[in-house]
Amino acid sequence: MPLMFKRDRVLFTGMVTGDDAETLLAWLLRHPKGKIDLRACTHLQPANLQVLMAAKRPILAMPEDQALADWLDSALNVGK
Amino acid sequence: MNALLEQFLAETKEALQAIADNLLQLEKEPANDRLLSELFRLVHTLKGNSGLFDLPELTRVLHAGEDLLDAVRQGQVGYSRLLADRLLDAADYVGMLCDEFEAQGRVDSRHIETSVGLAEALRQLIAPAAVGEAEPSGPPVPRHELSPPDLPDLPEAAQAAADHAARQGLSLHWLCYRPLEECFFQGDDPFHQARLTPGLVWGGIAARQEWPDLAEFDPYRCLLDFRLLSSATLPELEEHFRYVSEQVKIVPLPEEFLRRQQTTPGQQSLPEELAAESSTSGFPDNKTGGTAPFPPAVGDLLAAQREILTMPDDVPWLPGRIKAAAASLTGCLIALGRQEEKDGLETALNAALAESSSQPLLAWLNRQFPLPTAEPLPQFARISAWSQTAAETLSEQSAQAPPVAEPPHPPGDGETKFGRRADDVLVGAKSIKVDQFKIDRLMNLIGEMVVAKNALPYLADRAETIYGIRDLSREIKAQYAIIHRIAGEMQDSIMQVRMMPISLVLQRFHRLVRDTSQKLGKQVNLVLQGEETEADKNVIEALGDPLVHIVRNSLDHGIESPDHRRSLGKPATGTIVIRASQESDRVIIEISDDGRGIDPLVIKHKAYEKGILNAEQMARISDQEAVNLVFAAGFSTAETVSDLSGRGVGMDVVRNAVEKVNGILSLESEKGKGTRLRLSLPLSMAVTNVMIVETNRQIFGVPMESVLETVRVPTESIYRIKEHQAIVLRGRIVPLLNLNSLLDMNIPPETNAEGELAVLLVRHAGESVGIIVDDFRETVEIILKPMHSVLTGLAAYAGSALLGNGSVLLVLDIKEILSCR
Repeated sequence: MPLMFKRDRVLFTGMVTGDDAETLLAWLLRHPKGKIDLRACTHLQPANLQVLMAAKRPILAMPEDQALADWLDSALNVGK
Repeated sequence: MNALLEQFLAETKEALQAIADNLLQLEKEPANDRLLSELFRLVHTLKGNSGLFDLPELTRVLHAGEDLLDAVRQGQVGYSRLLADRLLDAADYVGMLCDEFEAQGRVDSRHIETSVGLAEALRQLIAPAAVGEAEPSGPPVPRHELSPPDLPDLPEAAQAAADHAARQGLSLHWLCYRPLEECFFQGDDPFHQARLTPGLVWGGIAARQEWPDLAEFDPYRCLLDFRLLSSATLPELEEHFRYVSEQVKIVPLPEEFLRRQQTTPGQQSLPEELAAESSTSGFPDNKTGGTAPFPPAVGDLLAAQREILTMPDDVPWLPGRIKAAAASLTGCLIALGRQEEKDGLETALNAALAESSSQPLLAWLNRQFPLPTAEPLPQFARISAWSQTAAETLSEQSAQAPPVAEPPHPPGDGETKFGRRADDVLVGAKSIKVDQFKIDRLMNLIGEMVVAKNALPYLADRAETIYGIRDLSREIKAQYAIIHRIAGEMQDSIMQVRMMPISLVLQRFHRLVRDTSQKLGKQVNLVLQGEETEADKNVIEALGDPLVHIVRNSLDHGIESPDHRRSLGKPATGTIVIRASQESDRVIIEISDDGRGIDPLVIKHKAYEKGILNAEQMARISDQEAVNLVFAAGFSTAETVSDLSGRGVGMDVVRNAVEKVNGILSLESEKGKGTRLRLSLPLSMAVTNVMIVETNRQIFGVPMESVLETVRVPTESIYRIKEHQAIVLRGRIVPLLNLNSLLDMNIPPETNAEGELAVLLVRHAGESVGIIVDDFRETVEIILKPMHSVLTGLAAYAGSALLGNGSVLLVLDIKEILSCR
């Protein structure tokens, strides 16, 4: 499972697929204070990205994959 | 090539022909719903099929065509000539792409532009109203915003990357990629696509609009814009984005811009420009408003630099980043008239560079421009403002075609992808498609079989004469008769397979006549008769080009302009009739027009001018002969060289092409009344009748169509005119030639017991010529095989054939032999 939900955060690992976006959105709605950890993420389908952008939740860690992190920089910093 | 692709290409060609036919038919009866539905179905099927292959250009055009036809079908758009023209263009384009795909296995990316253009042209017809509506809403987007953003608009990381790339001498492209909103449902991952962009230097993602409340948020509606800097070349980028080329804007980043950025940092005009833009783009000024005594744009800029300087320092391009920030700050100081503070900035910059840390510069910034209370992120706001405008230009385009989002499907058709299969079931139940190669192979095999079969009588003879077994000989002969009958029938059936209706070549003439007459401003009605006449595939194929040439000639030179025709008392609309029929074993095709005809006088003069005739010949030649001079090489009567004909490669090309398939061409014309061309072609080229002649103890075949008659001539009745020989036959002088010497054998011809020479009369260039041989033999049906490999150079022979006794018969190419003399 590319998304791992902890008590107060969601961990992204590997390839996050389009189907995960729904789960992610549902979780974020249930956890208004939930935070995001992208450290182990290698790619995420843009629906997930949209959820993250819309949710404007704190990002605990950007991906270790520098290329992905550079991309997400512009998208996610807006909500910081 | 795989079977699926082969099938697709074959089907596409058929469908394109059907589409063109339907379109032309529709032009005559625009209200015919059945035709329209058929047309839609064809395009729809094609589009569906094309999706199986890597042909986005093709799919795009077909998709647009399908949408347009659907709109026509629903009555939203009326059928018009323009519409037909564009659809025909699109069909031509699709055909061209298929040919290329077939030949090269791929389609060049240079076609993308054409395909987008064609698709747009088609879509424009659907909703011209929508284009009009799109513009008045909101402030008009100035054209120049298509140009790349100023570098300060780029995020700092992008700037640094761009600088770096520019310093390495790479040229950069700025891309704005706006995926369709529903792209996720099509299984696309635009982010992945963007990440894989070749030569990616920098990439960023921005939202198209404010995100709604999370509770109402639909994550599967793509509202992202991707912006990229790439060092790849334009073709590479086009290739990469070929599936979504209409969603991507690519602009080259001008080099001088980068240089300007490096040499004179912080232009005077920048703050004003930013200020102006930030107010027009509708961003509230109160982000920085009130906190500083300087224009809001400078506030934005300062905040952006602050943001940059607070970023982590562990990046390789840190020095560049620091310098860029310092340059921007210098610009701000100049804009604010605070030049005196530049020294302090410089010190801070040097300290920052020395320490490889943004801190000294950040400290200077915080000292000179204390932090405003609410920290805005103007930099990203600016970026999204830019992307907004860039995106607007994109949506401006797509506004022309709102149905992109939802290709209208007919009810019941869109529900299942297999719907179209139901339509297809009707076709092809009774016929199968077979590769021509396989039929050719069958043809060759039956040819060999006939030869092998012909060896049986020889065997029967041997059984009787050598081994003296009479009964066996008789039995062999009986068996031979059976095999002979079966082989004959087989040969016949295979010929039947190769037979095709002549309509295959004639179909395209509707289109040709329509387009050409339109171009020439003439009114022409084309009448086709006897389209169902059948002939061998090779003959049919060989017919195509000469016919096109003839019809074009008729259109260009024959039919007069409507006004001219009226003044002559003819109907304004000219008529071209193509009539095909079968006469014993030949196909006759007549092309006649009711145009101005050919004036023999004009032809004579032209021929004289071009040196085809001398003055004496000109005086003597009959009108009919003069008219046939149009077939002489290098003859073209057109006064002006036009796009259509008159390039001097006129009718002689036609004649050669027709003669290549053993056809005969004749022309009749009456001045002012019209012209009639008659082509006579063999039904099949597979079996050739040849007469066997003997000379110098060798046998040769002479094609029967060139043999006029055979005569025996006493040696004493041969006249000698200088070094030429001639005989008088039925009151006409016939030149005589010796086959031995034609074939370079220096042996005199043999006479028979009565001292007579065997003379074969053949037709050459419309005249009879006598060829002296030693003896005549029988005529045989042979399967003529062209000369192969090293022998191809031997122009004197048309080919070779195997005889029943296993020997090889060389068949002479009479025309070649006589003209090489």
